[in-house]
Amino acid sequence: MAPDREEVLKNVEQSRRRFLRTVIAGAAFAPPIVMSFSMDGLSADAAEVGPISSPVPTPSRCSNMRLEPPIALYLDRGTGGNLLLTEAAPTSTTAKFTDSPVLSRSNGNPWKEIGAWDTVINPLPCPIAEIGDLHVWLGLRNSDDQGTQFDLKAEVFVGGNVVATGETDCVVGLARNPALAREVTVSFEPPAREFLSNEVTLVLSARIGTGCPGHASATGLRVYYGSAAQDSSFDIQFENAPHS
Amino acid sequence: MATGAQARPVTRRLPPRPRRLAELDINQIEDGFVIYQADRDRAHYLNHSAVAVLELCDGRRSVSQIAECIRKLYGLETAPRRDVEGVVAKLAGEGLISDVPGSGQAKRGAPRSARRRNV
Repeated sequence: MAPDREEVLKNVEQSRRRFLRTVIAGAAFAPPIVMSFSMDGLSADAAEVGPISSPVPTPSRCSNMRLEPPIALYLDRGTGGNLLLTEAAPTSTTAKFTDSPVLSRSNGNPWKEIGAWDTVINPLPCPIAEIGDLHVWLGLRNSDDQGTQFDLKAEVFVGGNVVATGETDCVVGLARNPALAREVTVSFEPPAREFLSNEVTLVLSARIGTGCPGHASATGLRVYYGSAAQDSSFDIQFENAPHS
Repeated sequence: MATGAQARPVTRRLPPRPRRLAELDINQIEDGFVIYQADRDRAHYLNHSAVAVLELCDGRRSVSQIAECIRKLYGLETAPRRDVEGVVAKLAGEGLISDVPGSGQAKRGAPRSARRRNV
């Protein structure tokens, strides 16, 4: 992502940052438009569908419970350095990587964000039926940290709202050598169903392993992705896509 | 000749440091966003640029700073100052943003009573 953009996002209140990130993801600037309407005279149904002619998805359009085939989303990085999710399986022989900041048990061992991978899924999906396990390859930034244990957290956001979270604790056996990157699985709890949006973001965070022995700090955790051998990814499955 | 109330162009004063209402419920749709204000019986459609402006209205940034942020977010060559002013005026008119009390005024000291308590 462009440094200018990151600079602005960094100064946005944290609780709104992810939402703003999804608002601008993949969008070119267009003159701002605000159209306001009175809801007087609209029936409750009409108000639910949308007081304007925009195609607001409603449960009724997604109600036959037919499931779409799962979509595999692979972690990747664009040419501009932006993190993204792609439906194209990687074929490269060289993995890309993204590092966490320095991790330490001091100050309450806070979660530190490794990165946020974004995508826009088309067509506009119905509610998420299931999010499959995240398979992600991990290593170390620095070989001095060998023996350190880590907790890894994955959050899936749809339209800026978190819909599923998973955590794998006390990940051990990591190495600096990319060839020795270890595959770790994070399972998600059943996703919240009420969010309808085609903006999907995966956020990975790490901290020093809690409740497990090992070093109290580390230079950082390294996430590998974008190669055929280290194709970090997860599946997402929607209820039937609306047919407009 | 008509007298009395006559349509006149109104120059709306822009909030110096606009702040988005905290309780807004922003719903994403396929081609933008919808905000429902049930208490005012109003619905608002915003495109993504307008929502970006709304999100940048945090009570700390001036309108020109918001325009500069929009320039950076979208990688524009120049800040779309006029566009941002227009949308801020519209958002203010619809009650989606408010002004930060006292913004744009010289800072004053703490109220006397507060100062006395702090002694």
